[in-house]
Amino acid sequence: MTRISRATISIATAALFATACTLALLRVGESADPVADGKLENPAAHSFQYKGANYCSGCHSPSNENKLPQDWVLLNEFPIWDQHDRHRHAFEALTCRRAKQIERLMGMPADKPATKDERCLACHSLDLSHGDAGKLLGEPGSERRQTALAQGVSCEACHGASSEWFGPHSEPALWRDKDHERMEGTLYNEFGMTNLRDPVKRTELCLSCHLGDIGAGKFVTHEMYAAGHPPLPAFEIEAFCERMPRHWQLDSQRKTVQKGETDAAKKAGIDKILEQNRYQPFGRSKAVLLEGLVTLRASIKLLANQTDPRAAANADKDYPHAGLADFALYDCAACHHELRIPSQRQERGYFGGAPGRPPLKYWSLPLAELGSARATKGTAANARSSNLEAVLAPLHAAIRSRPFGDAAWVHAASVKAIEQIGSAIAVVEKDSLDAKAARRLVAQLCELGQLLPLDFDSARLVVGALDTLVAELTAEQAAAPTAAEAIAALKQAVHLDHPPAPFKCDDDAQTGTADAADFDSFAFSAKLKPLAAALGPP
Amino acid sequence: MNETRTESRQRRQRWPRAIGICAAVAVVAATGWLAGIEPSPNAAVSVEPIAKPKPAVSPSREASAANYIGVSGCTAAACHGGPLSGPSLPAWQTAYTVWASPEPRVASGAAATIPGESPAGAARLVDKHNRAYAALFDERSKRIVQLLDRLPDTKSAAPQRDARCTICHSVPVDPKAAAASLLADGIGCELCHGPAKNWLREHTHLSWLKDYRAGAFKQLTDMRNTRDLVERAQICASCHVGDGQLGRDVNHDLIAAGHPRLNFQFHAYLGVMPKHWSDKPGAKPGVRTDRETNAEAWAIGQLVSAEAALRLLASRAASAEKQSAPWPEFAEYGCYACHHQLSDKRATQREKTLEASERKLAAISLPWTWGTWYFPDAELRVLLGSELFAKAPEAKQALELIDQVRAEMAKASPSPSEVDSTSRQAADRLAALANRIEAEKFDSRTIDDLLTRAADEHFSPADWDEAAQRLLTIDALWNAYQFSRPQTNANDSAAVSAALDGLRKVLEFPRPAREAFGGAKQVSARVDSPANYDADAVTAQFKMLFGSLKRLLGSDRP
Repeated sequence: MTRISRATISIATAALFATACTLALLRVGESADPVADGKLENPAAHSFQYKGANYCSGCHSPSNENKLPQDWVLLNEFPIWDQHDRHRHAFEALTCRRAKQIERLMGMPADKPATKDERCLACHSLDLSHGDAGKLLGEPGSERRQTALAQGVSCEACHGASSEWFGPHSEPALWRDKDHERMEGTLYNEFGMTNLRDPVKRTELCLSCHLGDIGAGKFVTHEMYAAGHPPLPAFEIEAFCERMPRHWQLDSQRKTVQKGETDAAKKAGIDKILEQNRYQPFGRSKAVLLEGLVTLRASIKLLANQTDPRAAANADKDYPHAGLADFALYDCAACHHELRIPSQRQERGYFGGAPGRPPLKYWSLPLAELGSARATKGTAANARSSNLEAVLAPLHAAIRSRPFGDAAWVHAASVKAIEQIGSAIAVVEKDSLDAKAARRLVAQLCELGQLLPLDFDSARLVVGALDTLVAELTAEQAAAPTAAEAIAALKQAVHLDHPPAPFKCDDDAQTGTADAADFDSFAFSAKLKPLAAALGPP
Repeated sequence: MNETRTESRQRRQRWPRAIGICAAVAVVAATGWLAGIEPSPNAAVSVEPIAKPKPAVSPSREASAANYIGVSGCTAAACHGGPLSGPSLPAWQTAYTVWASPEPRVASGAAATIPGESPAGAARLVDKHNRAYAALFDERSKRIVQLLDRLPDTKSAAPQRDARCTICHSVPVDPKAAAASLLADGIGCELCHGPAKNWLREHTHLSWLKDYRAGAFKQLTDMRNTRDLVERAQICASCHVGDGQLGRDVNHDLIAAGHPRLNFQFHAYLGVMPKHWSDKPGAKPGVRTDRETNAEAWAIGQLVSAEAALRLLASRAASAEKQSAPWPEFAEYGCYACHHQLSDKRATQREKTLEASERKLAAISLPWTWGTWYFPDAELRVLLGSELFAKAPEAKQALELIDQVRAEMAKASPSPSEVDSTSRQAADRLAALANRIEAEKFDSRTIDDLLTRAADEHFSPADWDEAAQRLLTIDALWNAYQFSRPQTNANDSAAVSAALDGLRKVLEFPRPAREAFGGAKQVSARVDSPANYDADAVTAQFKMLFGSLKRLLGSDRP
């Protein structure tokens, strides 16, 4: 292992997985066809190889030997992840009782259990399905390879295979001081490091597992769910990062430290970092604003990939949904509920949808509406003034046209919607927020939550977003103390008020579906009123 | 068993099929001045077998309001409106009164209820057909139309003038043009017996009765032969399963909007409908069975219901090809494959059942199962594989065609053209087999054979539907068995009955007393799916039932 003189490790990192993200990200928006064929591989990805998390722990752990300055990184990242982060146990989960049940019900061969199946490893460990990404780890079965895989979703799963950047990233001259290339992303692309600093790319990386990315071979099919895979819960990136827990410093935290710093040299040091990172206030609020649109686009991208006529031709013939949208893309509860007479669903109605035709799984919609409103009319007070409804109308018509939609129509409508959402994302990316704008976003979200009866998943997303917005407002002294109380009540309603339970291998009770089934959307929307009142009129 | 003995026994048991017809007296059986005269089981009239599956009434005649006289034309006290109190009148004379009576009546035969649908042992019955049209004025019906057509409120919904609803809830005429008084009858006399304009007068003549007994209905324009069980089952199935040609289609869109699921099983439904006709069991036990409530009705019900289901499927597929119907049509599949809560308890039960029924792989990747209720596949196989159809080539052909339909329907997006043509071919085979039933006999040997097949120890229900259907099958065949062998040991009978009751109990849906939803509003809701399904308990009950039946069947065989 190279002796590193100075630890200079990129900090803004979020959650999960890796190599394929580079190609996944390139595919969206940049290619002429926004829905590239799912089977394509990025040739560039072949030159980046995994080294394994043990190569990182030397510097990223507090130790007596480690005399590195801690202005840029805290150097406690490894133990935080190792001891508190559930990602650490992602591989272990493949050996638990539930995984055994999935293997049995899906008829997976004994010599290729979940721990060796790429479909599982792609999200539960390092993604070795592309080229020679695992070359440095040795032959299959070798000790080093097994150790690296068994560490679950480890450093490189999110930060990218480190063969090329391992050396340079600790040299300020080669890495952190080249802030222009870093902020443009060219440096990351060149060395295969994931640009987790970019909110769009960070969100897409997390979503590649927490929602799915067909191109990267990360997709929980209906078959897997039916065999027992736990449901993927709605994913609000800022809230989830806090709950991981976060192993990096936020620029806003640095800013607070900097304000209180008396030592001029130290103050200047932090200033430099903030400048190199192009610090802007309300950065996380902006991430939240982008997140809804990015998540919606990722959901529709799954739909487009699946209904792609090429996918039908290339797919495994044992896969019954080839060329169609996998059942996993639809709202689980649309079908999976007990029947009742009289029925709450029929009393509630279908919100303009067709009875008996399952709608898409769409928990990102309220948050996407917020982003879209910001993109269309930066100053409009009414969140519903966004044109998102118009953007999605053709897709919804295609989905409604028959049960599970007409594949060709859905594909065409999805491709169009992806483009249009992409333009909205580009507008919001250039946006910058202030306290006034953040307050308006809170008011808009509260209003949306009262207009649309939210299900458990979208309510979770809304609460995560509100939590971030109010936290940044509070840091800028722009929110009343009662706002924090209102947020606490909301977090409790969607079970975000306590840290996730520590990983337990054979814990069968944790499937999360009971929360969704028992959720009272009317009681929830009533809880939004105190928050709106605390913030006052926008 | 000695072959020669069997044959001679069969010969002895052969009876003129006309006896069967005479024994089952239909509603509009005779005229006022013939009061009291009932056809005797011995009044055998030798006639040619009746050609059956063709509908006696052409849809165009049925669709014309001018051909209907309305229920009021039948209700004179001396015709079909005789009082139920006072001296006992023959069934035909109180036919209207029974149909119209709001008072529950005690069931005459064994009431085999659909386990989830109504409480076990529901023996007090009213005929709901008379309220069929009134139901369209309910808030629920309005809500269905509102949701289907995405109307702003229920005020703008008019199910009572909506052909999609009236086609089964009233006279099959254009509801926008028809007189309110005609529509208001609901499912009145002429809906089953045929529009009466052309036979109202004639059917009061003595000569008509002779023709009626002889089964010569072809001459009686527009009157339907309800005493013929195949035709009767077809009449029921036309609404209770559906008929694509007539637009009788309770599809998943309609069910999701609030229409109850169709739970038709001919034998069980006959059991819960208050009889307005006389139901004469055979004179000699062991010679023949009660046609309506037992084995024969069960067998005919399976064939006719399956045929109607296949024809409905074919018409749905044909419409889907023209993009004018939803496809895939979810109503074709078992409800509970998808409709179950995502709790671990439910999932575990489902996995258990799937594994036990050896369908795990296909079922896991695409969980739906086609043909679990009104196309009751497992029950049809009991019948088609029985000795009854051992010599019928159509039985084997039908099963092969059905397997093809099943394979296509198991896909995520079945080919409509393939499904259309294959299911029509299969339906034709089943129609031919339904015709054969008339020529076959339901003697104790046939019943033993059917019961043995139904009590197959390898039977492992893939879901609640299959379990409930098998319960109904055994219920029907067990009635027939008891009838054909009245000398059965009382203890053995009690064991079977207890096992049937136990099975019915484990298949019941849970009934929470009151439930809160929508915040403050308290509505008493009932669960309409097997939320508490316990695969082990169901298997154990079947084992017990099959065991007690096997003991009987083993010891009773000559």
